[in-house]
Amino acid sequence: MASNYGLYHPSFEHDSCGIGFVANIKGHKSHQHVADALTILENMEHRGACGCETNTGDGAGILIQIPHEFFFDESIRLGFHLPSYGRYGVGTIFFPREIRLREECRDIFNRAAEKLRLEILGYRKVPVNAEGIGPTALSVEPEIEQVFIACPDHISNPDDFERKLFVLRNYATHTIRNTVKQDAIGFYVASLSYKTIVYKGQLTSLQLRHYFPDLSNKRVVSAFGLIHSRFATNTFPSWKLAQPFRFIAHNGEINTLQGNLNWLRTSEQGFSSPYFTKQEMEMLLPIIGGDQSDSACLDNMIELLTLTGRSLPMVMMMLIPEAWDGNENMDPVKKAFYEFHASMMEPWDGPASISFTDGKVIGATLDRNGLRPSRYCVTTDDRVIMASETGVLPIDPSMIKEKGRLQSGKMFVVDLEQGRIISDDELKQKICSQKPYGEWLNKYKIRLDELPEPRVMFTHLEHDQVFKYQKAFGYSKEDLETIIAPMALDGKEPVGSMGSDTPLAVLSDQPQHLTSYFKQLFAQVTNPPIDPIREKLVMSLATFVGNIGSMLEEDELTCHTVALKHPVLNNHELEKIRSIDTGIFQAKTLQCYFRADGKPGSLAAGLDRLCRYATDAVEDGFEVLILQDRAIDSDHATIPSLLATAAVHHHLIRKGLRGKVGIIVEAGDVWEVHHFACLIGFGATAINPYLALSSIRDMKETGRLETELSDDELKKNYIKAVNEGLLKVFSKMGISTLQSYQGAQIFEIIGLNKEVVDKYFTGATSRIQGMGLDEIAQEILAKHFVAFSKKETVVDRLPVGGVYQWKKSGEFHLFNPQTIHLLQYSTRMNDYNTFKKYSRLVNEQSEKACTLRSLLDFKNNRPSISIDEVEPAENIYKRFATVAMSFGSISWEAHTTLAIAMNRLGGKSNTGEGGEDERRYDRLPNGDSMRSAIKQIASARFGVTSLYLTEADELQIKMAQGAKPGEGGQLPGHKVDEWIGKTRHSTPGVGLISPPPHHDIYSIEDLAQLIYDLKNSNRNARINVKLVSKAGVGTIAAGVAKAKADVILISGHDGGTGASPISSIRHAGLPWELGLAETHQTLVRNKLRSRVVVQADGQMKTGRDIAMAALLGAEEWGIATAALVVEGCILMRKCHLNTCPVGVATQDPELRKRFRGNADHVVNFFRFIVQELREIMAELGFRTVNEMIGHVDSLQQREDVWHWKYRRLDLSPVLYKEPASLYTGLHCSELQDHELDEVLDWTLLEAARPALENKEKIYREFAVKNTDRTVGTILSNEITKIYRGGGLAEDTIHFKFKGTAGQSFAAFNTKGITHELEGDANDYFGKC
Amino acid sequence: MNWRAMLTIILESAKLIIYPPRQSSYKPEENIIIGNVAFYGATSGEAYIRGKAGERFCVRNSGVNAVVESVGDHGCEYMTGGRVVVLGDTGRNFAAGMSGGIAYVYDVKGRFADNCNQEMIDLDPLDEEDVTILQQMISMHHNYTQSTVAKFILDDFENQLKNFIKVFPKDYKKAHSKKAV
Repeated sequence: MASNYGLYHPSFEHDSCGIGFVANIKGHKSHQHVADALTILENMEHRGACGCETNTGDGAGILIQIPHEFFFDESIRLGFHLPSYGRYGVGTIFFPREIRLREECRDIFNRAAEKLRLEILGYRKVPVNAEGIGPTALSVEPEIEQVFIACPDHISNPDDFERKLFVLRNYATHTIRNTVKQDAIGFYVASLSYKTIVYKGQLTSLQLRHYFPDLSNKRVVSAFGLIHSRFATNTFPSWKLAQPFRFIAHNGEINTLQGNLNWLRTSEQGFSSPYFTKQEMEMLLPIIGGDQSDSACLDNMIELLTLTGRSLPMVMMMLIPEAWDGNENMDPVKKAFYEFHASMMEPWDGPASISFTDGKVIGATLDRNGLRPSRYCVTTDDRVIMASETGVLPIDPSMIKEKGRLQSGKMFVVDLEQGRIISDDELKQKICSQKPYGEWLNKYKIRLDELPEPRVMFTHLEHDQVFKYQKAFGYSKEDLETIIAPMALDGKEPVGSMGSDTPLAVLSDQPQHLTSYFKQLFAQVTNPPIDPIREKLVMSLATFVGNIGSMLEEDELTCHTVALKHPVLNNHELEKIRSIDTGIFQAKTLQCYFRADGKPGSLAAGLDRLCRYATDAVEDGFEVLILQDRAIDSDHATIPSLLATAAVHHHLIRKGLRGKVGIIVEAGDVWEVHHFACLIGFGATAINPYLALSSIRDMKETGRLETELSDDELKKNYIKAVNEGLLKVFSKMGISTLQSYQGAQIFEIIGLNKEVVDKYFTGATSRIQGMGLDEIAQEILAKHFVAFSKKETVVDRLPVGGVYQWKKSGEFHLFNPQTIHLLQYSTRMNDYNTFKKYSRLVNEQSEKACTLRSLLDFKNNRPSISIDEVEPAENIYKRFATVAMSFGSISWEAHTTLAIAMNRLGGKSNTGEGGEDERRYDRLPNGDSMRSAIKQIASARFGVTSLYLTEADELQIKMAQGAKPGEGGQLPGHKVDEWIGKTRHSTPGVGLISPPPHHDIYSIEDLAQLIYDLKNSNRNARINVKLVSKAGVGTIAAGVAKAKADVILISGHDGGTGASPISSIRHAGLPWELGLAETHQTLVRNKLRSRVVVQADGQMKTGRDIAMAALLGAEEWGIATAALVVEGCILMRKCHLNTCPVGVATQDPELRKRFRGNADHVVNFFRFIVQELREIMAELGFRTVNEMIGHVDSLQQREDVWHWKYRRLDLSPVLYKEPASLYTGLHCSELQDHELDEVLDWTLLEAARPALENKEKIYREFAVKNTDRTVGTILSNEITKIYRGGGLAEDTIHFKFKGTAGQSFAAFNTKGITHELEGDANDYFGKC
Repeated sequence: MNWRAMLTIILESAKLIIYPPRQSSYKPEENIIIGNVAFYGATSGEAYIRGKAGERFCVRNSGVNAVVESVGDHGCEYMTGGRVVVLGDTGRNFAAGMSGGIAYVYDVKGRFADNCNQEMIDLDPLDEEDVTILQQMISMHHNYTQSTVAKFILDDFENQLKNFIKVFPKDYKKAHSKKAV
């Protein structure tokens, strides 16, 4: 089975796909519907994927109604007799191939049936045709059988029988999992029902029909066929991951899965339902087994809620609600339904198009963002065809009655029994008025503003107390002045610039905030981030404090909770909640402290006590727990609020009690947005940051805030800034609601050991170990004793900080006055010896470890060679690129100097996302070129034209940026001057916004489409996909490699930025060492490594850094900040202010005159780096760079590290060497097949020849179908090659198409072409 | 001045025309014809679409001039240039983050303002230049696609003008008035 190795973890897997169904509205069964559904599947082949072998698919399948007559005949042939339809169930079972395991499984299944008094009538071996199926798929091909089970006579309602089958399936599956040895195939029930049956497997869309001969049998009839074609990042083949599942086919991704599963787990133990006996309920649990995809988990949840008495559409409304919060136009009845169910359960959030059926209704729904395409048409002969694309089933146009699409949050249902389509309005109206939800809310919902005044009120903390608490909780001067003050003054999070070059929290000597060990995850490729500002209608901060009841019951008391509009409470609001007593709703305050005696185990004891008290409080009937840290003194130190919250949260989950209470955190150590995000991510329901609020008041009173604003206004501003910051944090992961983010644990931990994570942060990702509880305690005490000093001298000021800007006696920075000086001096003077001094200072981090690579050392495990034997520097320069920086963020001078230098060396510079001035395409008189070889395609597509694309050697799709992954950007109007406006094809003086996602990439198959588009736009350019390092990036990279990227760039979290929120610069993303190692390991494992070039960047400064990157798996490297320093940058970190004093990052004409950079200096810098790299190669015995790639065995973790904090870090997962397979090596050695040989454009090009050669006018007609994608783009590219940006005269080429055009019709079209289409088209029509 | 010269200085533009099959019997303006995210980031050209478009029509458009008969949610999101004529309904959140370009929406039902994200734009009446451009664009739409909606409006143009709302980004208006001065 899939298991951990190196940095890979199976939970990182993603999938996405094409879905669709065809159904007869009147419920008439026919084999044609099955055949048509398979045709739809085959016409969406391009939405699925295959891995290293073209004949091993990611999965394909179909769900149909039970073909009774077919099975009846089959049963007679097999020697048993089926009762009438509805009186028996059929299961499709995947058995292990090995006969002994198989019979063991069968035996358990049979005995489980017997226990439930269900009679097994017989088994049927499903005929399959494995010819042409890839060896990887075949290696785990199950033995597929169908089981037939009779409905007992005493059960008259078939739905009751269906429930028995559900119990049987779960019970047998659990028992087998617990008792039978699991091989790679395992035991799996694909479907078990009296109504529906699933045929699926690890197949391509084109293989399904052929593999199952049943599906071509004319007697296999159904009123519908629901299909799914899968595109997955999966590393291990597995037949059971194919879709459809038992109820749904899901195109999309559940972003909040871990939270959703935890909430289910915590309520499971109390489940009861009139539809199941107590014993049956026990046999059902756990509802969601391990080792499943997110879609499979969702299917399990839907099944549970449906079989416990709700209709399928109602369940879909609960799990994937419309955006109701703040929607003033929504019908109050519907809003009440959503709000009531929100207090019971959180949305399963993420982009989703779901087709669903229970055999009687079939329908589809779309998430609130409408991020997946779903098109349908209704025909005059009563059929509905619904699919991810239009045109997937050829239909005579005169038979089409209606063509529509699913809309955001809307549902489309065909009731096969009533024989009609039910509209979203009618359907929801009926469901929402089943119970008086609005009345229930009026009666029981507790509103903060209606609560009585609190019983007691804390008095304000006085200045001395504030100062003491600030010391104890670790505030620095910088935290107050750079973080809290701007939030209070402007109501916004502060913005900063450039990358982070301070140590990782676990490597820092400065006492850290516990949340600094937690890195925010973010969406890239497999799902889109959201724009929380422009699309705020889908966002919600609503949260409910109290007992959320049981999801299996519609109990009015479920909504007896405090409904909060947002999770940040001021002191007054907190006191109101503390005072609530409705007779059945009360709050309990618990103290979070431990003994400050420095002894091992003290913190653990404190946590144990806290968890024990929490359990008692819940069992005593309290609905709210308030975790408070005010009670500290010289002998008792605070438990960090994050640790206390997560500990209580997970303890209560394990006890099955978490759903019964809300957790409010009243904490002094919470002041920046990241602190709030961590608390909510690990289970907090609401937060009162009392010390941050007191600090604002104190700053105002002591004159440290120059403002007319009152105390209260400042606090309001601060809370507003926190809330907006939180929305930004959720949305970067693609999550719309705070409720779904609660407990979703969307972080990677760097620097805490396994015991701590398993016990207190259960299920969170943490891969390199680190500190235990006692070390955490030691760090807390370091702060504690500043406040409660036992020495005579009292500490009279806060530490300076120095995290955001280098400060003497502050936090360490790799770029400090000394290293900056040495680097600039050496490259200006062309002095290699001085450069060596610089690199020694950067590299020798034994005293001050800063990066993960500083904990690694080279291992001489092969004989050294002379440097003359190492390949010449000229061979190596081409592996270097300067990292994307836009013209706009840096000056013309700085931008072109880099380009000239890289062109001289044969390396590559990068346009960044701002387009490129066409003047740069002509060489300068001295032979230099300012043309950037790499053209970036970012989410705003600024300056992307056919000419821009045609002028590229490499096209880089920027999925994310290290400094602010998952976020968009904004260039204010005053920065868009004439020049920048022209380059970006926009209006001077008008602001420009970059959306967080590429709007043509919401999933992996979309990225494959964009790669295909770009390859069409310039067939000679490499397509590069830029990713940011995070847990799971290797799995994403595998998907990107399958999507046919030529280059994958893994960018570190510490990359630079022209302007980003400070919290994003520090807290999002991971070091490149982790991402690169994971990517290399996963690609090798998937036999995909040889198909792609892997590139890495992120604060690389020396030859040693480059050598490390090569050994960890990167054959190309990018450098940005160091190159800017060579050009004169002194890290003033003012890029976002346009006041750069050295003319590098400014558009101010006066400041630009101060630019002193020179291409010669930049060339010197790269020469030095390569010289250093070659010295290392000689020492390690590598003749060529290619020999080095991925040879992690030439690296080792340093043994001379004794620092108390990081001596227990374990980098062995980084140093894990995945063995290369026979056919694929450890570096790129083959080209991707972009499959452009057969496209329609070659025909177009041939037809257009007179126009291309002689500008003659031409008119031609062509047929087009949905599999013809990106039509016209090669043609545009060819015209641009000859006629440049001007194109041809209007209407020179007039092509008329008939039919359905595939995605990206006429993308990147150039001038002089007219395309006329009679028919319809899919997504990305006419895009750039 | 030639109306297209008003829109763009470049005459050699690309053109996209789409309409339903001639033998189909459904009403084009009530049925979807192109998918989501059409003209994303497009920089120049003209487009005539006889039917409804999906979500995010003309997202980040910086130069295309397009006529369409209805659009889904988030129409003209992040748009920075070009002109868009919508001869029918829009979905929610129209013009979110729209900093440039102009949209004209035919709002017979009077619901548009509720569906429009008005943070960055003004809803203005048409001026003379708008009227000329609008009439020309709708005429071209009719010529190329035989749209019946276009024909209805053109036949009753003076009277139908009252149903058009001009979506004019504030910054863009400022930049234009500066230029005019």
